[in-house]
Amino acid sequence: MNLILWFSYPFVQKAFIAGVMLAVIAGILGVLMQIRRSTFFGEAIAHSALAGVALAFLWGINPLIGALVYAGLFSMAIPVLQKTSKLSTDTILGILFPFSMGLGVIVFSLLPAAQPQLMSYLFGNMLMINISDLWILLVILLLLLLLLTLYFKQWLLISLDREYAQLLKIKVGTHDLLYHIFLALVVIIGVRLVGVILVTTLLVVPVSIARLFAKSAKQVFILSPIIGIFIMVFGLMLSILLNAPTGASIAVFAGLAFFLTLLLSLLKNK
Amino acid sequence: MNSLVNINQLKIRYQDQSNFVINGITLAIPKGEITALIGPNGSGKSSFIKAILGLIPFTGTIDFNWEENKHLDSSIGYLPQRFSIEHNFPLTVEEFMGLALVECSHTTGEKNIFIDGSLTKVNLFEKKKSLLTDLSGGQLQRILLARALVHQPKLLVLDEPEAGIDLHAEESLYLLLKDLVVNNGMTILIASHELHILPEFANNVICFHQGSVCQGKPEHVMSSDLFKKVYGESISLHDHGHHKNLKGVKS
Repeated sequence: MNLILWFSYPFVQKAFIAGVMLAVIAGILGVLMQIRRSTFFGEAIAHSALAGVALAFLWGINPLIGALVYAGLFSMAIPVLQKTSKLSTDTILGILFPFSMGLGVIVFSLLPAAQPQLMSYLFGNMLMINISDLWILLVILLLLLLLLTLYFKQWLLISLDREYAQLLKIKVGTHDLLYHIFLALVVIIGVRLVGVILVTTLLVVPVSIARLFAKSAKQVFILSPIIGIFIMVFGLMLSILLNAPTGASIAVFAGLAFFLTLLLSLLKNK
Repeated sequence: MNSLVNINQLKIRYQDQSNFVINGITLAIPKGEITALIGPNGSGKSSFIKAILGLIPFTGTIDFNWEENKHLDSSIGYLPQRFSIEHNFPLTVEEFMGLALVECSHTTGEKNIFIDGSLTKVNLFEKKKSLLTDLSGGQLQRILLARALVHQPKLLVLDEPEAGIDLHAEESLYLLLKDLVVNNGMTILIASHELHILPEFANNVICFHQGSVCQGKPEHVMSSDLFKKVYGESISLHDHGHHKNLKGVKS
């Protein structure tokens, strides 16, 4: 199949542009998530969106709004449940995550007409991305760059050592709220565009590969979005060449890229 | 007595507990001296430290006899009891130190001078470009001390700094602290379980027990009777040959 011919199609071009923007956004946020040891949080938010999408279909409202509202409630429920039950965040997520997934699957099973949306939620369809989606991603990307310009070091310090950040009188609670709202927004928009599996992939795999080679935090923050772009572009090309679903192809390519680079780093350090 | 910190009727109680961890204590931290906090685990030493650092809510008053350090982030340096970064995350010593000056309005060049000075003070300047994960326990402890010193604090607070480091590293840490008091006039507040070192090292001791405290010179406070009451057993303060270099360092 002629790749150059494929690239002449506007829907493929849009998929690539969206993929690159999402890879940059997720590549940067993924680093903060790993330092905070909260990779599970992003994944849980992404999966919780299924219940929001399903309930939105049931009540006839916009699925994106449903996902955003549900993810917002999900995020707010975590500290409340943590305080009242005295359980750890991971445990709370381990309860809410399957509850939300289960709720979503039950509601979808009651709505046969909405079944295709379930597959779209899981794997997304990048080739259906339109111009307004690109604008949304661009706004999120610019917002992230603005937030990082203003608060990068504060966010990094809070992620690494909250107590010390409090000692320096940094408003940890406010920054945490801002970070979590932004993360939830990115995850939900990402799920809507590329599916839950690909969002999780982009938040976790690029930073994990970057850490195998980086010699400083600065290098991780630079390499992670670059690796994310590489995974997106080559994963999409693989999808076109194999005529396979985009989200699944990119996730498989990302996994292979991780194992290959892990092998390379092991050989290098031998 | 010239005091740096005055504490009046300090009470600390955690939300989920009915008893006060600290129950209405009044005391003063002398300026330019080393004050050791002793007492069994759970006696309130760490809570007391966190109240001084402003990290937990309390009732009563804590007054600091200094003008706020307007140019640097904090007038208090802090070395925590436990520190861990996400497993193997590649953070260099220089990046780690730089984050401590995040709220400071100085130029990058000036911040570098502060960082270099602080690393030199703990004899680890050559580790500036190293990864934190490549350091030994003792070196990491000294980097944490360098971070605590980077703001040129008036009060240095250490919460069980000897935890997880070997005897040699422990001895160099204590000598370094002594040097900061003698040559820089710093005031040090240190929570410690190293009871056999403290009589040689600290000028004052505050002993925590069941929400209240007793304070005084080590030779007055650190008696067998008190240890029996506080720790429930007899404790000998005889030095077993370790930390010979600390002998006679008390100013």
